[in-house]
Amino acid sequence: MSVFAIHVGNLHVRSAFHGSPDLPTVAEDSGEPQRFLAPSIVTIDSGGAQFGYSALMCAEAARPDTTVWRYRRAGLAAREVGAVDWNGRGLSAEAFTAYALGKLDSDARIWAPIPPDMALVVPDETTPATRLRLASLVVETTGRPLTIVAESDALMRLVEPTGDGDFLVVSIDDDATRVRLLRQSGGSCTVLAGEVAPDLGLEALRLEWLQRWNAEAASSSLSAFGTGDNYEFEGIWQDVWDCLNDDPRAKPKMPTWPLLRRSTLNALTVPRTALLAELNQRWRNTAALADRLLTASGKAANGLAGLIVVADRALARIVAGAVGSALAIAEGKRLQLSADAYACGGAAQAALAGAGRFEISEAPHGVGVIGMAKDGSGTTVRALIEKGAALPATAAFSVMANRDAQRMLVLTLETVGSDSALSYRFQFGPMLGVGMLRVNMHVQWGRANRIVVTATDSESGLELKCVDAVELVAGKALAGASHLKTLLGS
Amino acid sequence: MEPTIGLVLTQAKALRQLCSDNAHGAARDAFLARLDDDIEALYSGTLGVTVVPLAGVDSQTLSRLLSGLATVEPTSELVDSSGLLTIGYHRPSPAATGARSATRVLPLASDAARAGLRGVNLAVSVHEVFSSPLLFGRLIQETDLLVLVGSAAKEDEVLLAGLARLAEQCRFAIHLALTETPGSAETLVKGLFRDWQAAPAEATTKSLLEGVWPTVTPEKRREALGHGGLARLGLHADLLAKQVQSELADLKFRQAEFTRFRRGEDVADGSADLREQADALKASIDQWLGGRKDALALTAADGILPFDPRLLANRLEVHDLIHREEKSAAVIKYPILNARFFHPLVSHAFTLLPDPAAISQIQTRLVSALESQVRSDSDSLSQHAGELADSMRRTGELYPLFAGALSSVRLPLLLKDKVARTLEGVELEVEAEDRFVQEGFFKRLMEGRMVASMAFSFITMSAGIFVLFGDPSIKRGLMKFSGVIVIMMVLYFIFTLMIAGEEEKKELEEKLEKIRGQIHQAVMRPLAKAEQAIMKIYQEFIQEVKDTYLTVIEGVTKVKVAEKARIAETRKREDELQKAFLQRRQQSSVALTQKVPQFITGLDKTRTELDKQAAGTAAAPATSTGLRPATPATPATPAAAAAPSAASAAVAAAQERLAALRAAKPPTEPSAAAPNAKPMTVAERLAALKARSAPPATPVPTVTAEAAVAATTPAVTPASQPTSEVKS
Repeated sequence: MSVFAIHVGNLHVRSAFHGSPDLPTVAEDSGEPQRFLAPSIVTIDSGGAQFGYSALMCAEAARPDTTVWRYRRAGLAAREVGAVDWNGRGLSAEAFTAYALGKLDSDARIWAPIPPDMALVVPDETTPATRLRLASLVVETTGRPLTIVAESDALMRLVEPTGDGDFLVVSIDDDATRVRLLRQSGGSCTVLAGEVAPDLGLEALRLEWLQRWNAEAASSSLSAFGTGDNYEFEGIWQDVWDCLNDDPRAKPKMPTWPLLRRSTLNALTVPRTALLAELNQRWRNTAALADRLLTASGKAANGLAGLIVVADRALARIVAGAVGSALAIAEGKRLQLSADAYACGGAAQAALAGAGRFEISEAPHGVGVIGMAKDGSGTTVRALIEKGAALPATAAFSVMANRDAQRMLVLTLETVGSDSALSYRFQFGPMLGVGMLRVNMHVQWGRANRIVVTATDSESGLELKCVDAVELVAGKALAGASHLKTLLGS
Repeated sequence: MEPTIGLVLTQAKALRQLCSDNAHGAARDAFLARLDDDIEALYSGTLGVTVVPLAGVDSQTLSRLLSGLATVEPTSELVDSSGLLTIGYHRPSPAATGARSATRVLPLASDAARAGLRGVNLAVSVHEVFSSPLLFGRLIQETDLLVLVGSAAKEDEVLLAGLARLAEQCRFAIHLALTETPGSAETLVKGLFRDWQAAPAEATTKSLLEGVWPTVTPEKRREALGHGGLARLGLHADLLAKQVQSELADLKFRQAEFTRFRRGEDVADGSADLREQADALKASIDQWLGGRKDALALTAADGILPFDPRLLANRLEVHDLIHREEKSAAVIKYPILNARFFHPLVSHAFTLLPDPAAISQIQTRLVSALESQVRSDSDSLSQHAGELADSMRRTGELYPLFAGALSSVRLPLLLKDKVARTLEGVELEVEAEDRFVQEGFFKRLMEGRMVASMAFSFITMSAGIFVLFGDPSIKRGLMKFSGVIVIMMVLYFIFTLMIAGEEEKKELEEKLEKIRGQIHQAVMRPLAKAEQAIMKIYQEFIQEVKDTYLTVIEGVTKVKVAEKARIAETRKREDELQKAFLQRRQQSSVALTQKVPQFITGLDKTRTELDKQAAGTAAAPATSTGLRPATPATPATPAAAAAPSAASAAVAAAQERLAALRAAKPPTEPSAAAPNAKPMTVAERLAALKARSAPPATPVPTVTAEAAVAATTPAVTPASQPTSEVKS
């Protein structure tokens, strides 16, 4: 069995294959086949959606209706809307994850002999509710089974052969540097304690370099890279890291890139040594962070089973050296893993565990429909399925639609018995004919946490086509599975 | 001209030709401008100098060093700030030249230009410049000769790395030690740069133009220019290759984006929905038409008139009947019988006819009733048509493509004159008549006599029976009753006279009913015709309403389809142009991707050969190129003589790196210096190289007339050449 796993960060989507020997270890970017690290950016316009490098090119020559959509790890649990596309759909981190997985999977299926199973590596702090939503969205979008793996589990799958014990994990992520104390015991992994340094993420470093280079260019009346959401800067960023990651013993040459501005050729040269010195300076406090964590959790450094540093090679060398020396961890116990370790470990874990079942047995909240009050004054929410009802649950009611006024029938189901400003909107149609029409609605809430509504024309007895089904958070329509399918098909 | 410069010039021209032939747009302009600058520098023999102040260099020293180079004297504020100070022409010219800017530009003084300087860059803040991709890239692009001032700590990795990269670009460095004992910078220079020389001690008190510059011999300048130019050419070729790769990716993206953009346009214009909207509209109109047709069919079945047409004939009364007398034979024989006195005595026969005035009235009533009903019906039909129009306007949002056209539809009118013409043709032709007999006095008397006779006969016959079988007295009694018979006759006569009026009235009523029936028949004939004609007008009207809308819908559909076809045609044209443009560019870019690596390979080969040549020259005891000092290459200073092992290690590292670079190079290929020229064989190239390494007197084939002029440009050569150390 082969598994394709992704781990989404604020800057890049990292992917990995596991299992089949005739598959590569990572998925190549369809827009830039020479690169294997897809930027976590999507652009959407009336022509469809673009992902990765193609999206960066698209963002560079953006049309008025182009929406640039970047993944935000912090917005995953809160379902924050990162952008709104031209169709008025709120684009959340969940939707990004589902889209990225669907896109990379469909790209992989072009050349993979057998479609691999899918796995998603999510942050440790992802709640079961978020996992359920993610799984529901991904499965509905792609129609394929999914395994969700936590970052720590994915990581420890890679270091499992080293045995049980407590591990200090320093992970240089896109959005922050995370120091965690993990306990590996009998194949299960527990997070004992953790510290997060948001200013030590790669995103912050990238922003700093971008601002500095922009300022230097501006002093020469040049426009450099703007917001950095462009193909040119992303290419340079990755080339810089390739250069930094090279083994210093190989004495890598400083690469140079052209910077064409206003018909003028400027050369950009990566000062490798200076950048490495800067990285050293920037992450020198990681050791103090790790020490604080160990002190707070009452652990001694010499009692650790190992130090795991997850970062790009250059950074991993620096951090592993700094933390290992400061905490006096023996060289043999220091393990440096590349940034795609989560994806690799996730794929391995998913291959071992198999596809997960994401189901609920009872309704986490009630749903109702807005109707006229009995006394005819105002509106009231009529409960259809009560909170705690055993799933699958069904409900039926009918509505009158004026075909002279509208051809589409829009139904909104409100949550009942919950504080969340969540609602579900379904659109049916077109309704043929004129005059009033009674439409029979049938609501079904399945165990996969998916609410399906069918509408039947009472005149003809035919089912009206459901053209759209969205979730609304605080009144904002989120991009749902049907929208993502459209984007994936474009 | 120095053979190296001639060779570089040839290569630069070849690269320029390559760019000119295959590059496009801004990239072409940019690369051509840079290469033109390079070629101009090679022709003019001017050098780009970079001054790198190391530790222990104050702003006063730097100001003194730079004095005379710019048209304005560099202030200590300028040289004491951060970033890069450029003296000379800088592309592009920065807008801000303030002290806060990372790059400041001062114009080059004419004396400096005459002395052979193209520009001077001062890395005011070495760490800042060596850490900045843009500023460091500019130094690499513009440096032929490096002047290091002061001393440096060898553990300064950023400085070492920066200098190492600059050493790949320019091979020649001058060290201006400010103190008597040379610092570690000297060992640094020795390790990194192929050629270096220490500036004389007196240069520390003079400007660069007066102190350091005269120590550089013209030959060394040309060598520095040649090697710097060659490295710069390699850099630009490398940049061109990367630019082409990027452009190719961009072109591929634009081709894909182009298709995607078109698909987005198709989705956005909603033309796919046109047929659906038109069909929905037609269905609505058909539904309306069906309803109206049903209503008309019902009307036709019930009749147009809102009442029973029989009522029209029923308006005919007895007094509307005309009595036309038929003269009897007696009257004809005896006209006196027609006299007033005799008139009641005899019977008279009449033909009953309806009064034409009454018939005319019936006709008028019929037409009026029809007119009234038609008026009502036409109002109703117009109202229904108006409702349809309202419905179409109201549901315009559902049919956005047709909303505009539907809202401005002019509905047809139900033409009343057409109906009026039909009604004018309504003509009532009645041929109803009957016969009526008015009985006279004698007739009635005769009838009385007949009754009396009948009674008498009855009695007589009854008496006869009694005579035969009964008492004859009964016969007599009965015979006596005959007188009663007469009385009966008279009484009956009187009775008939008394009921004569009622009888006549009743008969007239019967006759009237018959005539009314005939009139009704007569009314129904034109009414049916009129109704048929009116129904036809009604049907024509609703059909016309439907046709009006259908015409509008078809018109809009045709316009939209035509518009779509026109847009498709325009798009096809644009697409072809764009595709042709992209294809053209792609072909050129692909050509460049093939040719530039070949050029780089050729350039690397040239560099390698020049390195070998330089090494060979260095091994010789003395040459006439001026690259080697007359004395053996031994360090002049004790410190240099006792070079630390670190310097040896740096040299070893540089050589190792060079070896690694050479090893990484692709296999030797024919020179791409002149892509259009016939490739040289290895033997030819070796022969050419041998010719170039020959003494200057030997003519060099690559030297052009302009190059020769440039080579003879007088250089400022001091009368007494200072002793310099050249290491290679």
